[in-house]
Amino acid sequence: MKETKRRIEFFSLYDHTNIEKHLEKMAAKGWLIENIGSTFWKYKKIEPQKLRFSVVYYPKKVNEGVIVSADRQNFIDICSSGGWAYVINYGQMHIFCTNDENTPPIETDPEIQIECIHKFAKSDIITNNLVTIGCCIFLIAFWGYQMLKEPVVIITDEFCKVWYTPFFIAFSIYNIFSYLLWYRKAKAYAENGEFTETKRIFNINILFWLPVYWFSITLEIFTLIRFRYVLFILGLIAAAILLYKLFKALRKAIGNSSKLKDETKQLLKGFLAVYLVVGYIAAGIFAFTLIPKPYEKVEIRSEITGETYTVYHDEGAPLDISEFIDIEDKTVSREKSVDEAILLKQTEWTVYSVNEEEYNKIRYTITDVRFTLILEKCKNELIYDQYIFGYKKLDINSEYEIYQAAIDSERWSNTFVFSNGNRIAEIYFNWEPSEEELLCAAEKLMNADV
Amino acid sequence: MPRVKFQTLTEQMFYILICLKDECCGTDIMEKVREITDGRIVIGPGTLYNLLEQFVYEEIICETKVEGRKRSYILTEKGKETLENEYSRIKKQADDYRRLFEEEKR
Repeated sequence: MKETKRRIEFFSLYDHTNIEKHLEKMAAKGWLIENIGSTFWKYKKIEPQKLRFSVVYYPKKVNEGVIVSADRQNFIDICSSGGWAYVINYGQMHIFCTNDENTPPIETDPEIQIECIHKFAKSDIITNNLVTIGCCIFLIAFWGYQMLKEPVVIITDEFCKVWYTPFFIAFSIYNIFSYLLWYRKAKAYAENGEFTETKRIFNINILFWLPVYWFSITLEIFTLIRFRYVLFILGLIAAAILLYKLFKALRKAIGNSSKLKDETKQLLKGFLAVYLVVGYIAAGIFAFTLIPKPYEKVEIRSEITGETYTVYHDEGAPLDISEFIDIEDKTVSREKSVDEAILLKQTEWTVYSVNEEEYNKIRYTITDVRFTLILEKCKNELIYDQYIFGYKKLDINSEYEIYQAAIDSERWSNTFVFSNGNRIAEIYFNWEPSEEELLCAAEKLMNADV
Repeated sequence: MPRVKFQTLTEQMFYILICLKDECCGTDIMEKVREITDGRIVIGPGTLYNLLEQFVYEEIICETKVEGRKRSYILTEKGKETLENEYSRIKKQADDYRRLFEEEKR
């Protein structure tokens, strides 16, 4: 038999009413609270018994150290002489219990109780949530500043760094407001000598946020395609946990069928669990089937050098090197990489022949900006800021704007940029293309379906 | 509007102060109040602790001695004054009540 038990509890720490009720239930099941951590609450095994708990807030700052301050000891002594045994504390929050139903409560004056709770809330709930909001705003501001400078890089690579901040802010505001609402109401009642129960607020535990962090880190490390695997694995983990819960709930429902109300509750929970499990699995399978097939890879031996090369056959390249030169198709490698975000999509293709005698290569990137407001910013980044030695707008009769980048202060490179509407395409040739070739490339890239 | 601190006293405050007419240990106050009021007024230990702290801060009472973990307190002059004010306030209330209702009976 286990001697200790750890649980994740989602209590807001000022919610003394529900914490007390919860601890009483746990004691009735034979578990006494032993330690409160930031994530886990630890319980130890006791004889199941009816205990009354009282959660009170010691009004002074508590520095957790080896020596319990004399003042706090005095507080604990007075409580124990009032019939309440000290159990544990978490900072200013102190938990006492008694097995005597007639022991008068620790707090008999609502005004004083609320003063203490408010002192605690100011240093705990309110401060923590304000810090969270502050950090989020800083992150968003920093991201926004970078976004103005380099939208393309930020959108494709770093969007995930801030996507969760609005949720954090919303939750923090919710926490603060629900506390302040309670405080206002409780204070008004207290003036008439009435106590106000605290309401259960779903406090987001740090462990709840872990998957969120993990999620965003994964997003950063993996490309979006691989992310689907992660989603699938996440779905499986969630399904496993829910199945376990369902199993436990069902066993319990069968175990004590005398209580009809509990049974109904368990059944409902069971249904919910099944619903979620099925949903997750379906989502997982859906995600899995969406994973594109890996590129077809072929190893070929060059007839000229005798070395072996890997050739990728990624179909659907909008512009092929065979447009420009006559070439044996099986020696052409086509590689594709996609960077997709809500605001824009970037697709890069590298097409080259591995046959060294006629080694030819083109590399092009098509950027589709889906949000017109950032179009100018993106153009700035992709054309004007990109080429440190400058660029020139070519005077070619075309419906597209065509730019050529410079290699250094004297020479022009074989890198060109086409721009029209929401699309910006960049292409590199490893030879000097003719005007006809350039126009052909522009036509293909600007009309490609990516 | 919040009550101006200790200008008027709640029953619990009143009885704590009464107990401290003579030097008394903090932990004994709860029992003493229960005896005096015959169980009508019950003071919870948390409330008692906080009130004692506040009374000391406002110099209504003062700490007399600390024996090990036992702390004893006694009323100060300011405390006696506070208690006297409260007494005359309650007395006035009682007088007014009597005047109005007993005159009616006559």
